[in-house]
Amino acid sequence: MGLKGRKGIVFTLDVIASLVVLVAAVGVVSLLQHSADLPSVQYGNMNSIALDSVAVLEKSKVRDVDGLPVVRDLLQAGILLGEDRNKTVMDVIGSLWAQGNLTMARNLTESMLKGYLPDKINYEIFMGDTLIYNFTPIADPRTKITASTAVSGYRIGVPTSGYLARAWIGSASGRETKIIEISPYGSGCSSNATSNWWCDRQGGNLTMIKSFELPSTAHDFNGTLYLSLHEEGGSIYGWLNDVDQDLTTYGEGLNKTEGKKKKSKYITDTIYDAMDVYGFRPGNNTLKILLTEPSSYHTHSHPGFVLVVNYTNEKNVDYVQEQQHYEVMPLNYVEGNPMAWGVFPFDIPAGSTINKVSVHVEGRGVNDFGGVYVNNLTVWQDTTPPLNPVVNADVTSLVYQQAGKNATGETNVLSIYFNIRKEDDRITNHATGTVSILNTSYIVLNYTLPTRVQKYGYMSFTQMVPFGGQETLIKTVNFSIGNTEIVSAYLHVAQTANWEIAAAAWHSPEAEPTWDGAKDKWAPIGMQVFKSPTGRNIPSSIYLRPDRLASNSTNFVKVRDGYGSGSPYNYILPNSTVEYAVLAPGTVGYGNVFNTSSGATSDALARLAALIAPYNLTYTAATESSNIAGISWLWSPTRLKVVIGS
Amino acid sequence: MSTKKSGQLFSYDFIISAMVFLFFFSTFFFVWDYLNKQIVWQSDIKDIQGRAALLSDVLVRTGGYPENWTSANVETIGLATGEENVIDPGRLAALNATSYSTARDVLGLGQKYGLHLQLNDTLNNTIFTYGRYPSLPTAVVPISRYVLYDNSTSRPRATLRLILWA
Repeated sequence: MGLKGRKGIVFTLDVIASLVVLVAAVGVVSLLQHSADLPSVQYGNMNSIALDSVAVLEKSKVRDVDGLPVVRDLLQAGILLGEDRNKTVMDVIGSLWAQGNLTMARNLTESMLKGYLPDKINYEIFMGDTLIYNFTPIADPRTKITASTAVSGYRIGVPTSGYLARAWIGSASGRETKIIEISPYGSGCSSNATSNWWCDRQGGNLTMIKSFELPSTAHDFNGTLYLSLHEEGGSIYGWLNDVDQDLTTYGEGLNKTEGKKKKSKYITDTIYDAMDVYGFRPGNNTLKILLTEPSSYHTHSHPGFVLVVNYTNEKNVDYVQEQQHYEVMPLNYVEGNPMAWGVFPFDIPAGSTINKVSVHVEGRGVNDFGGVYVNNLTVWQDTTPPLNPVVNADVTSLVYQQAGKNATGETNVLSIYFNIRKEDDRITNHATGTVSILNTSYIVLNYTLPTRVQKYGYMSFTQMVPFGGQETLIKTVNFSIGNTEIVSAYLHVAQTANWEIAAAAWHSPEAEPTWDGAKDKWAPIGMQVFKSPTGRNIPSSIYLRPDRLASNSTNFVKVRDGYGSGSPYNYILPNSTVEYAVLAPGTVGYGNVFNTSSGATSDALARLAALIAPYNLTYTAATESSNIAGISWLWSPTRLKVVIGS
Repeated sequence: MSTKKSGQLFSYDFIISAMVFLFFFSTFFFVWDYLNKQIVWQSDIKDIQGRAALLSDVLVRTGGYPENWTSANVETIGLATGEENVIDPGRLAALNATSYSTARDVLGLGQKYGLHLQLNDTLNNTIFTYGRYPSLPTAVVPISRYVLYDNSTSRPRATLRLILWA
């Protein structure tokens, strides 16, 4: 049997093979075309349903669907009035949403769409970003269609005719708090730029005089002096406006809780205590602290030395902060032997444009060394200074707010050191035998805020938050601030031994900052609000940027010592505090519509009383009542969105 | 002897190979014809679906032309009042008075497609019907639109169901 005999079979197999391939190809093409048609059809149907849903909600009126149980309930409950029957269902859903009544909004939407739209699709209805109703959630749909429309409407349940009223505080008085900071100052050890510190002489008397203003209309004063001092041996005296505060009547350590020991003199070490002070008056006040006859060089104050004054005063019912700020800050009088030194903080709010910062420093009885510094930079120093030096300097370029320095915060420190010669003693007839920083010295701040702050009808209130707990090297305080605007905040650190501090502030949900030991700073650096520019340079008042705190949030402030050359015993005391001021509204706008003017006015007064209840004010209120006719009230525009998925 | 052998070879091999060939050839033509019909059907379905979607949109979102059209002067059929998705009873009455063949022509369906319209309330009560149900259709496309029915006293929710068939 040769090849000739097999031709028919070979031919047949070729044809069969080609036919099989052809049939398969035709089938594949047909299936591809069939499957490609499905999504577009489905898309079209879903799109129609979405558009129809929006149209039905937008065009159905309450009177058209008043047979629905949920609509009957709204009418019977008075949430819908008779005149609301002409409003659309979308109006009602939107108004319920605007009033926060999401349950009724959901029930009404459900009753309109469930059983009406096909139950084989999933759909969700949103008002703004709020999910009002969903008929089975759309988790991961193959196809998703959205139709939306801008909506606004008239508020439901509000009569269109009647009276409405607003109220505001005409005048108010209440308790106010003012914190007078007294940053570290002292006598004792001397220093100059070359030999640094020597402490081989017994210190002489140390006098500090602080002048401060209280409102001229203030009354019913009380105050607490947080003494933070260090004197070994000797006595401590204090006067407020020449009224002897009898500081020495408290026992060693000045701890009132241990009872009064009636000692006119005592020997002690570091002192931290809170004591009542008397003799405040409206206008100018003067606090004088005198440390006498120390047995060693230790005669100085520590961080946390503040005077907290409470008084009743007429509240300013408008809060205005001018954009241009010009302030002359007088310095404390400090007199010592063989030295008079002091640190004086000043702060410039974040975001300000600095026009000029200058210092004017006057000394008396200086015959050995004098130095004036801003932060860690020298303004002036002289080893052979004039007896009564006067330093005038533009220090604008030295403040922290300048470029590249803002990570250290907004609190700057002016430091002044004046010495008399070692061989002189305090009774040598140079001036008074002592060396002094005169209170004719001052700092001038001239800066421009980003904007003028004007909040008419708002009053400021100051709050104090103590750290509490135990004294530790690193301490944190947390506190909540409600729905109110924060206008200023300060940290007052209290210590009985110290070297340098670094402070950070943050608020939830921000993560807590961590300590970068390699660089001695808080990380991230944006949370750091202050770091001592040099050793022993810790002001009693540190500015906290308002953006580091937040309303409606939990806020945290953390401060530490004991890094660098610091000691592990440089504790932060529980009496350290955060002070912040917030604005509270003293006005309420138009409220509901009432049938009578007196009803509307009473409602406005009640709303005002509830608004300011937390602030314990005595006030007189002014009201205004208006008559309206035919006015409907809109709720704000948003978007109604229907999402369909399958 | 050789002639006898050639005839035997032809009749046996040829018959088997022809049978196999014819079997596969006829299978190919059967499949070809089936797929061709499927493609045509798909094309019809696609066309009718597009028409149904467009037609339902025209019916529920427009009022037709002229504005107060009747069976005598209708150029475009629409069932909405001045508002989209709100069905006008007057236009339903005008459609009811229009012959089925006229309606098909005006709606651009010609003799190729048939239609049936039904308006039901939310309790599934029939408010209005029009057109014919298909008897032996090759393709049927139903589509539902959600509307309001503007009777003289209120505008209750309703469903307009359109069936287009070929």
